[in-house]
Amino acid sequence: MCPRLSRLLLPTLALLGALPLSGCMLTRPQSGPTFSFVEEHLVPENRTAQYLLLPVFIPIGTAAALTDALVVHPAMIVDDVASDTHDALWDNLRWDETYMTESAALPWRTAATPVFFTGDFVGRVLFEIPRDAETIAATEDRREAEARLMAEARALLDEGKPGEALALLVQNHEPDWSRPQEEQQDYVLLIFRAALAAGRYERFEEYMRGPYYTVTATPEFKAMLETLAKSESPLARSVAFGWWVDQGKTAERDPLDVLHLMLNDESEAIRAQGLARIQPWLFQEGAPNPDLSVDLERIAESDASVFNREKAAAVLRQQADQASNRGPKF
Amino acid sequence: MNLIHSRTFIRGFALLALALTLAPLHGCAVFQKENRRSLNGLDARIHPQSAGAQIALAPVAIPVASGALAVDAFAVNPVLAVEPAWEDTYNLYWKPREMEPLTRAMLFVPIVVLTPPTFVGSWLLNSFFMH
Repeated sequence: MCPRLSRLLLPTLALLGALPLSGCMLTRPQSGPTFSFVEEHLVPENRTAQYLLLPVFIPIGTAAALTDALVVHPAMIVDDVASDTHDALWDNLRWDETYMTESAALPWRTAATPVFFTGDFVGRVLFEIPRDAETIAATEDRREAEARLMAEARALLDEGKPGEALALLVQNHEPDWSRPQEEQQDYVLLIFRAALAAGRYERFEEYMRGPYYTVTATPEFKAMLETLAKSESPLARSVAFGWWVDQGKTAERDPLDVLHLMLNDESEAIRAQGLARIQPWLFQEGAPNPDLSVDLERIAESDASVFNREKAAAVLRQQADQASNRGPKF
Repeated sequence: MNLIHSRTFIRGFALLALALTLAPLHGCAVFQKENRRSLNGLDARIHPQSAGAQIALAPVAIPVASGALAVDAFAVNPVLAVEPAWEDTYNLYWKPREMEPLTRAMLFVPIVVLTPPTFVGSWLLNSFFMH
């Protein structure tokens, strides 16, 4: 074999072998414009004709796929590669403020530009990195779909169908971690509104403690908590009380006041939840918190629930141990 | 001779690519503003505002600024790194500690042996890498 050809053979075989592992266009010919044109306009729809003409369309299709992979796709991504290079090396130059520093960096940026451009170009050709335009279009499509869903959900809420609105929003919700949380706040707030109206308070727990934490800083969410705290439903009250206590000093309400409310609530379950959350608040500046101690003693003596009486008694014993340094400090 | 096929060109390109890739990953010291004292001094004194002045000054500014960067990287920062390198070495080996005389005696030779490479290693890290 010709020496030059034999030198090229091994790298070529290695590259062809690696292509299926990457997102190379050759492994997805259907996503190229030339190949798509051949498929849509040249291939007959009749299945028999397709099989008969295979000897013709296989080489045509192969040529179309190669054209896409080696010519069309690289030409299409040049603008994205240039944009990447600009963002990485030539963006945010402050010539007015740091003229000499930028001058010193100029030779290095210039040397790095072809290196970065080449690397980014090869990467975008070999791997399935969506074009900036595709990413932008996909994001806009998602936003439009979300806006339509939210409009539909609001209409259902206005018609007095909060359960249907909630189901619509929750079933079609697609978390998108690439977008800022603030963009998805309105959607999550609408879920909360629907959940509140439908009495589905568990949805609050699901969303407010998850990745959508920025929604809990909104005035609308805080107002919903106040509504939940005054609800006749113990589950609703427990959502609000639990949130305020768990947030500690950063909460809108003083956790000690909230614990006092919980320990005096008419629901045994809420009193139990208060007892479960009380440990970090037993002491105030080194001394037992007097208000909580009064509540604990009352519960230990006369609560309707055996569990609550025993739990309160246990907490009081722990408080006494800690006060005399006999037990672990919390 | 075709430049692209020149071994020197290919090796140089590969080395440049490697250096430009690794430098940010390793956190080159001069990437931080506080480690560019000479350049910062020049920035404070030379800051043409108009584009015309910036372009006109470029043939002089680029080599002068590059020289200042080299001075920072290979002279100023290494000199200033001596004190923190010694502090690291002192705190590691020579800071007075409570220990038995026998232990102290046994550790003396290893500490003497380890002091120079520790100092040099810390000096290199403090001179050339972000900290």
